[in-house]
Amino acid sequence: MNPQDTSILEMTDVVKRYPDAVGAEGPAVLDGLTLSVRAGESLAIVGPSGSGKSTLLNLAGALDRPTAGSVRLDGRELGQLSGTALAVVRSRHVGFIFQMHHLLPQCTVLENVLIPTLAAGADRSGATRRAGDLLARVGLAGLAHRLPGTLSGGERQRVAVARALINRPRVLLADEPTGSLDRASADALADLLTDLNRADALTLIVVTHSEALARRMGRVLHLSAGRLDGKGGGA
Amino acid sequence: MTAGRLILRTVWHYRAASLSVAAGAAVTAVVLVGALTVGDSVRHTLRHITLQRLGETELVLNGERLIRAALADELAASLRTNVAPALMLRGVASRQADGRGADDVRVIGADARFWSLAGRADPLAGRADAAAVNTHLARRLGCGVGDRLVLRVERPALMPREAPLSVTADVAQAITVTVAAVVDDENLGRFSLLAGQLPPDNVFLPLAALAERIARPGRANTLLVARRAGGGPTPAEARAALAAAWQLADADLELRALPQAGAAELRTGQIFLDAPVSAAVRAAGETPLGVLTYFVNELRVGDRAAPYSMVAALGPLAAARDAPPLPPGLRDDQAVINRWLADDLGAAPGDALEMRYFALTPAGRLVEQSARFTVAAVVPLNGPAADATLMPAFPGLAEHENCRDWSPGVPVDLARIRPKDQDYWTAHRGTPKAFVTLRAGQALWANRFGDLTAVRWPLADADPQRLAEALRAKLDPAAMGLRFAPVRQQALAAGEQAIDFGQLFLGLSAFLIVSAVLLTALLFALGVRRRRRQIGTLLALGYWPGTVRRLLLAEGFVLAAVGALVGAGCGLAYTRAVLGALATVWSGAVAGAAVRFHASSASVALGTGGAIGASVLAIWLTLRREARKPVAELLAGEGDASPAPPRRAALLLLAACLCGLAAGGILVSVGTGRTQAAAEAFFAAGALLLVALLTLTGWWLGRLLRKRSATTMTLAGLAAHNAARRRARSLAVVALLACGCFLVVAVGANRRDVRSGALGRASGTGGFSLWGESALPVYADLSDQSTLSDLAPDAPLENVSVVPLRVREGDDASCLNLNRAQTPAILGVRPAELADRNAFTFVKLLDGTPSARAWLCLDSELPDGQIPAVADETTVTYGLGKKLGDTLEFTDDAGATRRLRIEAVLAGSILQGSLLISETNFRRAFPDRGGFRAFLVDAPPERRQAAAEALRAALVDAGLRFTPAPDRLAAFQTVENTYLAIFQALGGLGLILGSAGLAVVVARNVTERRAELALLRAVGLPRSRLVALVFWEHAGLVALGLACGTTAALLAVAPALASPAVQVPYRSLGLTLTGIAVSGLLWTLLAAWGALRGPLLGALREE
Repeated sequence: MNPQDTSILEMTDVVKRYPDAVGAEGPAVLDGLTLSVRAGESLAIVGPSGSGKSTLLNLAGALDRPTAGSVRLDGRELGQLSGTALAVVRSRHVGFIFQMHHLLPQCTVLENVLIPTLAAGADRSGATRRAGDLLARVGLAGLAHRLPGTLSGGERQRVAVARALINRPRVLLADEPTGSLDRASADALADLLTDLNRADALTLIVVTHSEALARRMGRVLHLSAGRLDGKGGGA
Repeated sequence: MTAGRLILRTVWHYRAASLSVAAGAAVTAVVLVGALTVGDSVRHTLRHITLQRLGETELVLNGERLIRAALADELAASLRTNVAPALMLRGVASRQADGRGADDVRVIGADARFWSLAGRADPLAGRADAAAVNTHLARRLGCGVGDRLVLRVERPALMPREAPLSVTADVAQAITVTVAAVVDDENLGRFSLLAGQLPPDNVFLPLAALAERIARPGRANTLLVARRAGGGPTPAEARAALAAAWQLADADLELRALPQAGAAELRTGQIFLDAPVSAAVRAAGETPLGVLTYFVNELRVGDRAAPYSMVAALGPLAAARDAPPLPPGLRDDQAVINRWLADDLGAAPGDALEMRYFALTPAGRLVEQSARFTVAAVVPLNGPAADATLMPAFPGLAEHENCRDWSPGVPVDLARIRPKDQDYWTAHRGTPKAFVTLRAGQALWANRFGDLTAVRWPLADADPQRLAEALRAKLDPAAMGLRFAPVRQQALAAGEQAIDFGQLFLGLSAFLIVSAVLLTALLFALGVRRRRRQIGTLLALGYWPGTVRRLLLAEGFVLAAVGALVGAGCGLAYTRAVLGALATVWSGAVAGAAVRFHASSASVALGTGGAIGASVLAIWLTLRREARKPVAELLAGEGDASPAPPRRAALLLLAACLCGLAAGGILVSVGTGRTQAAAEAFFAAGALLLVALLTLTGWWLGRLLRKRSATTMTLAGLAAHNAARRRARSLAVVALLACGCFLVVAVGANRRDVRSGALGRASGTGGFSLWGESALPVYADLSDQSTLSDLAPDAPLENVSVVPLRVREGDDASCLNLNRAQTPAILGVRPAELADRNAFTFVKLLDGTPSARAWLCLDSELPDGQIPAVADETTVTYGLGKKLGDTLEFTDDAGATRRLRIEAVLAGSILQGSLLISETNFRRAFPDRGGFRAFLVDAPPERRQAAAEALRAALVDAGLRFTPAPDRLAAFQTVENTYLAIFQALGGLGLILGSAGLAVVVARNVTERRAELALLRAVGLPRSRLVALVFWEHAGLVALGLACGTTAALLAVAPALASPAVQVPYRSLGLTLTGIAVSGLLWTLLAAWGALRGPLLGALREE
């Protein structure tokens, strides 16, 4: 069977509400959303601010639980997993790139990349080698012992990419990865992401405001009023 | 990358925050290590003092009897160690130059063997008229080498002074000496057999010289056995050695041959042979004859009487035998008189003979009694009837040739002595004029000191040497008061069992410790919250929540460990500071003892470990909710500004109401009682109210957050809402301040001024105006008004009454002695004297004891020979570590182990330090301790001074000293008040720490809201109003904390506020609370101003 024919992410009738100021359930941010992503696919999700894009990505990446509905990642029903099991999913199956990169300022570039290996219990020497390779791949081979505070925004984001890949995830989720970058850095990052998708058959889901980035994805979906409008797109 | 590396990098990167957390742990360690090492220091000091005062002494034999000093040599040989004889007497000392004096001085006769117990040479060698004084006495008298001192010491009596016919005059012997040396503490200067931390006043004289001066040459009353290099000797070894070495002379017994009487006779210098001897003689030798010779006032037949004669009671003690001159078959109601008496009285067989004599009543008074006999026979004044040796050496009689010189211990009218009586005395001395059976004599004249004056065996049947050996074999030296006590072991135990000052200071520092721990946790939690996004990142990267918490906890552990290790070092400096305070402003807590610094590695380790443990535990409690929040929320850096769900808020309100109701319920049930139980109940109610108020505060803060009004936006409303946003943080600050205020006020308000109302019968003075003690026993019964009148004929003792107390010296079991009393002092009192006055207040009585006449429980008969006792509550609880109904063992003068049972407990009183038993039981247990040495004096306040002076002048040899009863009570209370002062001071430090925590919270709050505050600046609010906003937001928390704490505290101390005995230090409390408020507000203002310095608007551009 062609791996690309297998769904790696299935979200069915997902509803997500957040509590309001007095602790009662607020309006639905996602309201009956349904989504299916094939393995190896690259997908962009676009929409206006407050439409729930980050919420969708958080649910897909096991960072949050839906109020209702089903989220299946790589065949696992995330809603039925315990907190510990969800952590395992995040550690071994998902790579997450945040808009604000969230690098630990007290650790070097190399150490930041290796942070996820502690959670996964990976072999130390092997992980260090792989981290070096990843840094080389993202073009930061010479910056392994620098602190994040000394890097540019683009360099920090590339460190975040390397960190997201260290445990060989099957899905890479990126939340506004180019949101805080300049044009050149954004383009470079977009090249990197698409290269990863193409070369490693890594499923890539990107939430973005950037039309340029969205266009480079295999499929673009619009999110509004808590639901997706599917449109085709190709790289 | 390892977890350890991540932790260390984090600690270093956030080193400012790390330092503050470590500082919190350091403070905890300072206090913990400091408190524990204070305990070490006190323990070490007590041990040091014990070893100083005993030198190398291991065992001691110390009693009322005088033994041969040579016994020490015999024991030294068998025990293979130094045995030092000593003469230990009580006395009074004064400097001859200016009369400056010291009452209650210990006069110690010692030789080189004594001084070798401290490894030093005899400072008085070869100087019979010299003395050495210890540094304490030298300071007190202002004397030095070369000064002359006049000492008055108790001259040991030949017979117990309270025995019938004993002489109570010439109790004191004056001795003038020259000070040849001043002996310091390291060289046995503070030698004492009693456990206590205060040095006694000691004067040392050469043993031989002292013994000569008190007319008991070659005698000692103490043997000090030195410890052997390899250990021991044990009391059992000493006992065995004593049993082999002692002689009858050591028990003041003499076995002599009386060839003219054809008898070997056992007699004693104490006149009456006591019970153990009576029992032993019955089993030693054959056919012993008991003799009881008595001095009678008058022998009368009809209207003719002969004054002041001896009468002998004779009879077999074991197997039946003749008792000449008594005819066989003489009945107990018959008497045999000699020819001289028959002629004097014109008496013949069949006549009624009346004897009048003084006898000792059970109450210890001499009363004249009479007995009637029928003259059975008249015997010639020769042979067995002419035996002058039947009369014992009655002091005041035997030594005088002329009857006019008689001064016996009973009243005699010398004018009644006729020339023929003098002639009889000259020719026949104490030859008895009448004889009765032993049974009859014992029925009349037996007393607690004995029922025989001699025992005789036929000389033909008994070899005195063999008889002496047989008697020694039958007599137990311990029963004669000759027994060794493991004084070193007891003294060290007294120190070990003393109040644990480590635990005491831990308790007193509890709030300070809690504040430091809470501050540590608060600072750590603030640091963690600042890194929420990092936590979210780790979780997003696949870390388990438990793993993240463990990493944070490990980080906390590292900080706590570093801080605690540093703090442990500083803790030793803190200890020195506390010891300095104990030597000065807090000296009342240690009754003036000089505590030396000492720190054990165990205490340092325990304190350090405790600080780490407490800090880590507090950090763990704050971390429990971390990493449980949704990852997305953490990544977004969301705070904890969400309000509590309605159900939780309702639960808080319910909890507050329940606590309040419980407090009210307690108050209703207790009413307005003034008892200790009522005070404790009020305290509990106050604590419940505090919990209720804090819970209510938590509910109210949540309500503030829920019920925001959007229509009016004021600075005050904004401040209140901001305080409610960080509910947990705000509540922590309020709780810290409230608990501190509560403790400071509740404890401080219980400082007592016992002088207020101290003259009432129910007060701790029992209504007595003076407490008196004498160095030497007073044999006059001062409870007898006629005695007082005789002592002070010029009437300064009018309207004055005295309750005299007998004293068996022992360890002071009051709060003024840091050591745990091993052999507490025992006082003998006449219960009716106190019951009639309804003196003192009992706080606890055994079931069935009526409170109205509770003192009379001392006369009750208890099973198994137990003796009822009463004691002060502090003595029972802290001095002895006992409670109502418990028993204590003691050894009586006969060497028997007896038990006291605590029948009743007194409220804080001047009787603290001793156990009280009835005088009757006291005399039975301690017959050798005569006289009174403590006195409760009833005198009108305006005559108190005059009464004390009159009694001192009348009994100058006794070394009487008086303390106003309220002053004595206040001295005991000083200890408790000092503890309260220490608690307040340390609690105040805790509050200051809490204030510093408040400042940190302020700074943290501002930092977290910089963007928000920048926005307010951007819309036009001046910086000064921002400072005001932040200030009032937190000032409100300070006010809430003070209000909650003070309100609850006022309820807790309501009984104290209403009690006249409690002097509420309103001024100092007010100052403390004002200081807390000012400190809190100042810290808040400084933190707000500091945090809002610098350009704020830049925060609008930061994410």
